[in-house]
Amino acid sequence: MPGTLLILIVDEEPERAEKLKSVIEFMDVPQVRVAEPGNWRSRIGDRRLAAVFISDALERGVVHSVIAEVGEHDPNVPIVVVEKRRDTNRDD
Amino acid sequence: MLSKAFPWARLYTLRQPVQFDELGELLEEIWAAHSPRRQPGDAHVADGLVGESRHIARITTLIERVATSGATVLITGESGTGKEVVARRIHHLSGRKGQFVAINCGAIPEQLLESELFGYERGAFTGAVARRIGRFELAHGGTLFLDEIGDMPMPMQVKLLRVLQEHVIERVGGTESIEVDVRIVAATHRDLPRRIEEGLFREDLYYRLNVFPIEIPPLRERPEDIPPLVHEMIGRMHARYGVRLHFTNDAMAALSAYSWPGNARELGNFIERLAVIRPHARIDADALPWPFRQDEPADEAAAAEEIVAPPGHSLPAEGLDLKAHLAGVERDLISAALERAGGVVQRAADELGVRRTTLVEKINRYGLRVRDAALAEDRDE
Repeated sequence: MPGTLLILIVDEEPERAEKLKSVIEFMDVPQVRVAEPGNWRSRIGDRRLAAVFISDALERGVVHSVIAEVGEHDPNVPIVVVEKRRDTNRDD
Repeated sequence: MLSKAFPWARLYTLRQPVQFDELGELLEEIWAAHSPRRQPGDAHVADGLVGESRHIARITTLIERVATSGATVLITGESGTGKEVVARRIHHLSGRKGQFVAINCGAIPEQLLESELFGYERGAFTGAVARRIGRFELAHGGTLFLDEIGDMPMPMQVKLLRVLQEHVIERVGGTESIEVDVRIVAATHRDLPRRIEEGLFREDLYYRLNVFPIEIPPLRERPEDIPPLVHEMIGRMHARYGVRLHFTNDAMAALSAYSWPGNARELGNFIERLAVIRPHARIDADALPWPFRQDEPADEAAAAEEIVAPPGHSLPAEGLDLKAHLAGVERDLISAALERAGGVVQRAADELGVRRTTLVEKINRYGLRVRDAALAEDRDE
């Protein structure tokens, strides 16, 4: 696993984000950070992103805005939408 | 649908509550998307070179001698001989704590190569919305593998030479000199002295790189390595697809007599194709396609048809891993479509009836090599 890559969790609900962070870290991922939609850029600094996990409990406009910003930053970064519903947006 | 609003995006979903197996698969895909490209022929990444020839013994000795020295290494050899395998082995034995970072100098357009190697500052150019570090900084404390160095554009050769001399880089758009501790391993299938004569490669850079040369002979010059490589690949196919191939002595002799112009990579692709279309088969010489049957007239079209012919859908007595098997079929069909499309991803996507973004994701997932320049840029980001 690429050691210096960072997984970023974007959510407005700290408890929910920290819970997901713990689960991802449990899977032996060493670099996981939590951010809010408005501060995710400053939270990553110079680090390269492995993936961005974004909660779809956020307002739809906020989700769209963050995805667009991540695309501006690096369009190759995988974006994982953390949802509760059973349907999927996965582009397969 | 988010995928419609953001067709460029690599979108995934994760359901709540999180299932560990689902998250594990997702993380594997994420790491795979960031891993340096792999080829089936690179069978010996973890354990070093596979083979019983004196050539492999000599290369193994050279690797062990140079690994801890920190010297710059220039690996030469035809495509598919395993130059990246040697580079990874050197890094593995070097004791260096940093990462092994690879970049294909021939696959990235000149204007992007500088920012890939050295990074850039915010505002350095249109679209540079944030600072980004390059491969040299990523490899700090580790090894930077400059693949296809013979294809590096001349202006970049000048900048690379400066880094090799001074061990400092400057990000594009930046003024700060950044010290980097990077061990350089370069590789090429080109004849660099000839490139120097042609004015395509700097002589001073050649001597900087050629501190410790390692030449990997083509597979046709070391046929005794073919059976061990075949067995290595059989083991990998068993691990990957859950299928077990068996070659008779006659078949192995035919494989050993073949010239393998694509070297270990071609051999790896061939074994993988057989694993997909003839899982659990016992393969004798008669079952091999031309050109392994030297006594029959050449018919490349028939051979191609023969090897991709549908095998039917019989379930092997031993059973199989359906998911891995289907993934293998998918990978094989994508390879065939890319080949037929001349490496043009959009055309291959049309042939397969999928969107380009979907195909790009699968190409990345399976680590397929493509000639599409735009995709190469995408993948080396």
